[in-house]
Amino acid sequence: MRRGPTRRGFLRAGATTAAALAAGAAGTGVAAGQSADYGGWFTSDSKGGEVKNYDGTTVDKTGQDTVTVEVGAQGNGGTYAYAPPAVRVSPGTEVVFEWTSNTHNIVVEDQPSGANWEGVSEIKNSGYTYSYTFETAGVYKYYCDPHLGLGMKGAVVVGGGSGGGGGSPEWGDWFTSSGKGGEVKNYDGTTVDKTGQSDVTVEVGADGNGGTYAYAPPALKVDPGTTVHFEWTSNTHNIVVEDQPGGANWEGVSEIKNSGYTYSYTFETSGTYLYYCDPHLGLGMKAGIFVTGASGGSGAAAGGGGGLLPDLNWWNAAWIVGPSAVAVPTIAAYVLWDSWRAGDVSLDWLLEGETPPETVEAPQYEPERRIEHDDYDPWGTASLIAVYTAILVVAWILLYFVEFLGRGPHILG
Amino acid sequence: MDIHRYEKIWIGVSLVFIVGLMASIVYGVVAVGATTVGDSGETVAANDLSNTTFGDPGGHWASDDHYVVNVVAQQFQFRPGTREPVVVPANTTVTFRLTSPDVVHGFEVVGTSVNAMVIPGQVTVATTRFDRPTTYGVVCNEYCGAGHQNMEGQIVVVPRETLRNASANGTAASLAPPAGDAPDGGVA
Repeated sequence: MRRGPTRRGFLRAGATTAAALAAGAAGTGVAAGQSADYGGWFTSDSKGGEVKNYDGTTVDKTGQDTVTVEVGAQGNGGTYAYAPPAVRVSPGTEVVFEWTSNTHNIVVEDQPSGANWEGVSEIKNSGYTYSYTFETAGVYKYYCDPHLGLGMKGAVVVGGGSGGGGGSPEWGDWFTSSGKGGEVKNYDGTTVDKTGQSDVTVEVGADGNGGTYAYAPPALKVDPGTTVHFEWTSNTHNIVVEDQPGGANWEGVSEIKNSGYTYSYTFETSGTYLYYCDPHLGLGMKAGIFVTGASGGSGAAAGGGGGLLPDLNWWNAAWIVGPSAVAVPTIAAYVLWDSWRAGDVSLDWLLEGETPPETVEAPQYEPERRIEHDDYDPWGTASLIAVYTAILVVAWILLYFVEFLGRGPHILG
Repeated sequence: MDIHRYEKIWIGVSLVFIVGLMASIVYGVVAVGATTVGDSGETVAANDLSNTTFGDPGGHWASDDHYVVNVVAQQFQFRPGTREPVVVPANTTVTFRLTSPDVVHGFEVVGTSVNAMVIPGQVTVATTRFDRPTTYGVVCNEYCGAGHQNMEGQIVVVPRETLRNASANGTAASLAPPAGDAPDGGVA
């Protein structure tokens, strides 16, 4: 989690103050808590067609001093995407554009009046970086000239959003290694902004944390009244609510469910909800939902304890005792057998009175008719080999003389 | 050692077969002249072809009986080849010099034995001779990305004097019929 130290500091200092300061810092532009309006920039009826790597999410990077956008990331059927395609930053944020594949540029399609971003008209290759500090609030739209037809378009929204009175998520140390259960590896410091949407989906058991042990997205921001659909995409996960705002009574899904199970809950009370998967807490399967409308931080300091050892409930105990019950006797038996084989330990007292059975060899018969070496004619085998050889010769003639030499012109040097 | 007579026959047949394989290849190389692409091509900076012979790709006469075509194979087109066909003379030694600025491509003249791999940073040199005026298709036969299936081009073989006169007049490009629309996935 990399946020500007100053901002983080005052967020901690006090929720109300934070919201007020953030509102001031964010300036104006987009109404509070509202999704940016891109005017159809990402849809198929606009210039260049649909941006397939845009899923309706504006990645909220407000409050960060430096934000990185990949140019030529995977997407749109190749390395033809800006990642993230839509990003929201605070005014004064330096956005670093990093070329991760070849032959891309940045052509500015639209920007707020008063702004004079020029983009990068020259076509650049992997390794090139360019940064620009966005000061004027509003929506900036840009695209890649060579790959516009493939949908390589992006947008930067400056100001508004999370700072504007909706409250900012404050996750405390829930996603860090000092939180209960350890670090959430699929959390990259980004809170996915789904405000303004009435239905939002969270995958339970998505790829991440060293397997299918992740909630995707791990950090989510929604408006009050949003129904979140939890969809199980792999087996043996549940949702245990670690913390929620006062007055909220979300119970999660305590039972362990498998792939295909879905569960929906409508979040009404503003604040921070923290939850985790009981079986996979130790792997970092944790997530949070922030419901706008109130100041962040109501669940801020939660999730402090633990860290080194998981709670010893029946499930964790079964993980340890079950395999141990098999492994310990197996290893003990092997060590004993190995010692006995080496003669270090005598187990004769176990076998006392028993002798191994005698092995009887089969009787040898005389051949009925003896054939001398040159009297034997394996004509069956010989004719089979002759046929195989003929097939090989024909195949070679077809391959080399008919297919290759017969189909000119050739490479002559 | 007592070898069975059937085994003696078998050893003889397999020796004849091996010698026959080698002899047929020697025949192909010596009598027909069919070889493969060698390592004679130089290297170029794949990131920047602008200062090389591939900065302005196309064909030119190297001598009276030698026509050289520089072709850039890139995602997802041949330049020239896709937007306008490659025009080459018949009954003339034609050398294709191929390179790629991005990923590995293939250069297969469909229905012939002219088939080469195009490697970024490396110039593939393939010399051939077309014996009569006709039209060939060119396809990329190495998977090169999302638009690979659309990467194709055309070679138009014209009589030698026709191309020579057109080259002199600067109208070589007009010799070929229109190549049709650029395939999907090309540069917009």
